[in-house]
Amino acid sequence: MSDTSSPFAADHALWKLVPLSDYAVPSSPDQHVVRKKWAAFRSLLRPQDEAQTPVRAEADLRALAGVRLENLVPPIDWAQAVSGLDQVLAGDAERPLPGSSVRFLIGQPHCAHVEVLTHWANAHGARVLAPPRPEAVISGDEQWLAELSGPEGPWVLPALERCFLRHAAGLPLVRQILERAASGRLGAGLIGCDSWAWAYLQRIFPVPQLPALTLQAFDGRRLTELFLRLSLSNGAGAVRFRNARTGASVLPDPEALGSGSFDVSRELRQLAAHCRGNPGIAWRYWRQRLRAEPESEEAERSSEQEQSAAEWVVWLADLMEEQVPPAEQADDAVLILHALLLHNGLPDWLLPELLPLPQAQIASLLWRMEGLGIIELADERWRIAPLGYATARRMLRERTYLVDGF
Amino acid sequence: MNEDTDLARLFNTLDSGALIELTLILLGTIVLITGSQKLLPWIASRMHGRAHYYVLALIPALRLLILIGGVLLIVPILIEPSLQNMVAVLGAVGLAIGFALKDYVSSLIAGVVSTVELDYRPGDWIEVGGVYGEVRRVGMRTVQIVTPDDTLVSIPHLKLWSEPVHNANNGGPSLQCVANFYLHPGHDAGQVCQALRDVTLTSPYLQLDQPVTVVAQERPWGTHYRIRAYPIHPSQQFRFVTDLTVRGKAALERIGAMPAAVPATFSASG
Repeated sequence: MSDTSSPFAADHALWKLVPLSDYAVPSSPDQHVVRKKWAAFRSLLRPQDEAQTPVRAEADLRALAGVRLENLVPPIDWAQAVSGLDQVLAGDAERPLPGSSVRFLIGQPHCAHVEVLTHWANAHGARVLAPPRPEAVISGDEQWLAELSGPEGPWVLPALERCFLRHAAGLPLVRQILERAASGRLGAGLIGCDSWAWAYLQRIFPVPQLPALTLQAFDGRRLTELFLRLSLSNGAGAVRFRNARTGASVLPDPEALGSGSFDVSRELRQLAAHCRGNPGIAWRYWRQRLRAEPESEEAERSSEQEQSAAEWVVWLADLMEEQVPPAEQADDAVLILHALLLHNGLPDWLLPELLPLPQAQIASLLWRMEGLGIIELADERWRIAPLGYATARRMLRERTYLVDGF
Repeated sequence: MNEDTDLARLFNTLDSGALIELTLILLGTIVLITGSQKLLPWIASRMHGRAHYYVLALIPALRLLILIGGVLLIVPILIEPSLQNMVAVLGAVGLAIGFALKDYVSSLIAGVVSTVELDYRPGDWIEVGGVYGEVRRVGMRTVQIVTPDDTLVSIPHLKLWSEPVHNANNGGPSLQCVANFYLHPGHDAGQVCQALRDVTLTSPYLQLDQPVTVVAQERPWGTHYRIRAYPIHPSQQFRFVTDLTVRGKAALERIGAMPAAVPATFSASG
């Protein structure tokens, strides 16, 4: 199954920023119910060994060594998104928007909107406003608010989600920021906000005319280009990425990138749909699924390969089955997951202030969900783990909690 | 002798084939009813939001359909379906009901009416005759509700004829909750309204797409504030009101609003 509908231009805007309403969640090749049912029916009819015998059994493969993984899939350079932002802002300069001169950049979890805006501020010499401490948010710190109206010149507030707390005293500060931004009193600036916090703030202080941008979804085609560029960035040599089950090639030849025309594999279209176009989370899945031959066989095969095509094969394992909290704890677990998503992570001491649960119960649930890989501790803040995000979002959506607009 | 012959003519002769057919129909009806009553709640428990309530609402309707189907299949086997025979049988049944089983049959008929008019469905939160709870089962004769104290109460459908039925969520996930605050008159009412509004907007149980209202009413002893808002799921109503009350009291204390000191005796609505 491949997609060859449109030729891919070499200078395709990988890091394109679009208005929120233009974000297009990638669709899965399996999304059609009838197609899903037909595939299930066919798998019933197919002989067992034909349907399930993989080209390379996952049990025979091993995870990639750290250095090799870093070479093949290095971290995403988010500074590249600055060019997309500049492009939009240049358009603004030609056709100024009515009303506010503040632009919002909305980022999904693990999409590094803070890094993008910090890179932009560094590139343009803009003032970066650090978010207030949680204590200052609750006390409505006037001094921090006064810093917003500092010296002339562009400014950047990269993390609006740190300027409020879902606490009875945690909203006045963010209301004042939004009110000043909407009225134009803050002057020209950029505000970054997490997508979940943005969805919540839209209900608390709905200002429809605030212009908000986001990174366009990474569909299968964009992911293909991203992963191919990443694999080439460290000069890892000729590598063939193949599906361990089917043996099919997952990424095209590097030359195809230059020619601008290549097929998009089914795996990457599925991954794009699973991650809802979130490149940060897709990157983590990609790293987690790559496998290599065991050491002994690898040495043997590499000598064969050196002789033949000097090409090294990396196998792509299936998506791992996602873990969910036990049913009897799910109702309390979703409260924690929702709080973590709305604030883009929280320190553990703050959680009892925001949730109607005892501290001991919160701690127990945090450890439990960490063990299941749904959440993780980073920089002393609990946050949703990239590989647990799909589970957390699905649990919240099914229970009709507020979810982000992506 | 003649009367015996007339009575005998009402009914068909039940040979072994007819008996087997009757047994199979009865067994089939019982299996289908039991199966649907187990399967649909199981399916509903795996769904959330509106779909959960739609599936639960199917249970009594489906049972009624299966029963009607069973009766329609059984009657022609037992009785020769002529006009004369039907009038005779219905007359006898009517007499029996009129004298002995009036209330029972009235409950059965009210059960059918409730299934059609959807006065209550499994998953609804209703109050009938001063008893409030969640509908767990809509039976043929009674509706079973579980109160917040975890007591199962069976209420005959008969009550439908004479008593009002208060349905708090009416087959959907939206159930309005009210949290009350009684304050000493010496306070800034605008500040209190804003504080209570923020308390509500920051509750983890709040359904954010539903309206949040703070109502203030001046009373001889002070001011009565009510927060009206909707929890995400009806089953969270008590935790939601508790959360609003606990955090509301703390927020009011922070802004210096004192509770009313006079012991208040008034109705819940006032």
